[in-house]
Amino acid sequence: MPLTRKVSDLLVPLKDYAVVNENSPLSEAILSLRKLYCQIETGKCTEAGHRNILVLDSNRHLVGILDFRTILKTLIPEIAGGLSERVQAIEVSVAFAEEGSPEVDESRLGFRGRVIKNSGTPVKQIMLKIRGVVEAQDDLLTALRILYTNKISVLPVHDKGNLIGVLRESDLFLAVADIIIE
Amino acid sequence: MTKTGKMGALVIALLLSVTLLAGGSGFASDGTVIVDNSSAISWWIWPLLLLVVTFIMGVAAVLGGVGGGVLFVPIISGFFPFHLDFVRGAGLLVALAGALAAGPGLLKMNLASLRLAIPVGLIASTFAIIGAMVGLALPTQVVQIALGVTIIGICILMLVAKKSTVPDVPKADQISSVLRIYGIYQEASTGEIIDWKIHRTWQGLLLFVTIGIMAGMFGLGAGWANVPVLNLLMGAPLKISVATSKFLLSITDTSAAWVYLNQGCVIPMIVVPSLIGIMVGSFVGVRLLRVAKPGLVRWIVIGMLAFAGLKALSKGLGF
Repeated sequence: MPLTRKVSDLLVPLKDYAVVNENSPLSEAILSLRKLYCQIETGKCTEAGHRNILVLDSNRHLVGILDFRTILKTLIPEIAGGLSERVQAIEVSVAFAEEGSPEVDESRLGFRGRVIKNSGTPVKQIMLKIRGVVEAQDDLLTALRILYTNKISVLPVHDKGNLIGVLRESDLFLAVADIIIE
Repeated sequence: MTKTGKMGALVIALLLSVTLLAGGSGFASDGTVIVDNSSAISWWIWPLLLLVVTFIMGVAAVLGGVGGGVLFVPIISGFFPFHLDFVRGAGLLVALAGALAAGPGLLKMNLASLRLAIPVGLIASTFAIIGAMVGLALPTQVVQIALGVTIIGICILMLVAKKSTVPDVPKADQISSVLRIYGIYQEASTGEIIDWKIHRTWQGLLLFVTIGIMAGMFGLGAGWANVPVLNLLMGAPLKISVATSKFLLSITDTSAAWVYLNQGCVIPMIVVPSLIGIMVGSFVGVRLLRVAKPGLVRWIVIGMLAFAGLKALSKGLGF
């Protein structure tokens, strides 16, 4: 039965997953993720490329995660961000305008300039917190429960305290789909 | 008529109508009442009018390069029948709202410097509390005269003060080195890395004593003074000065606002329409700024401010 399999049977090993240091700029994370998501070198996109990048500290401990939404929200806060980010972005422009210095307001750089500027944001400022981990020997139902309880789409997998890989929602979907095929 | 010309005419027409309305309704000029009960005008007219005026003020502040808080206190206290204490309390909250909304963004963008803001903010907020207490203890006429003089001074400062994008600071002074007030940022337009430091820290900190007192006493916000001191005197780059100044307001004005709040000088009927009006107005102003050349509006706004300053002065002197 597919759901009696262990997390270790399905996980994506850490070496195959995109990782970035917490002190790196967002641009570095984007390039790593893009490379893995689309496999630019071989010229083809994987059918289920990784949509997240793990954030590690200098001791290689997992401290956070970045997804597409968080990245886009940081790059284009005035559009992709929530109400709070949009108000913040406008108020920053108001601050420069009210001091009679709109010429130094970076939002006037144009879309490309702002994206490049925002890509310099340190990863640790924007990363999402880790909301749940799973052990390699846990069964898939346990992993599924943690995913849905915490409303997340990827789960870091630990083995004896060490991060060894990632279990994705898509892996669990395929495992459940196997039941129908069988 | 150009877009900016129309805007200026609209601002003047509206202020004129407020003046006539306030004058025609026979409100006491000593400002001891909020709304005259004998007036035929319904009470709800005032918050509504406040909303409209502050909306236009928000647009004008952004186009004219003047802080919303600076415009708010002299104009509302000059042309609306509200006691100066309530206007100052609302003015602080107006300045505070903008600062709190912009602060996180400025910090995230690495433009507002915490190392620069904390020592300066500590001094300014301490003296803002003292300023607020002194302002509330002094007779209203005295504060009104001082407000008038300050506003006229601000107008002169706006006309003569220059700005320096990246001032030349040959060597950081000892106190700024000890407090580690220096930083680095990337100039987004050129990609250049700007390494900045400051000097004349003692003189700057002393000036922030005065700025704090004035911010607390008049409820003006203090961007008009913060930026020249940080940029021209202490030598912080313009971008850092503007961002740190805005962030500083959230520290300075919070301290003073508590004093006004504690004394019952914050009335939601004045504060709520003012906050909404100024914030929505400034959002519209930023959009307009992208298409309009604000040269004429700046002159109109400074003229309007000077007029409001003279009005405050005449009110204080009892003319």
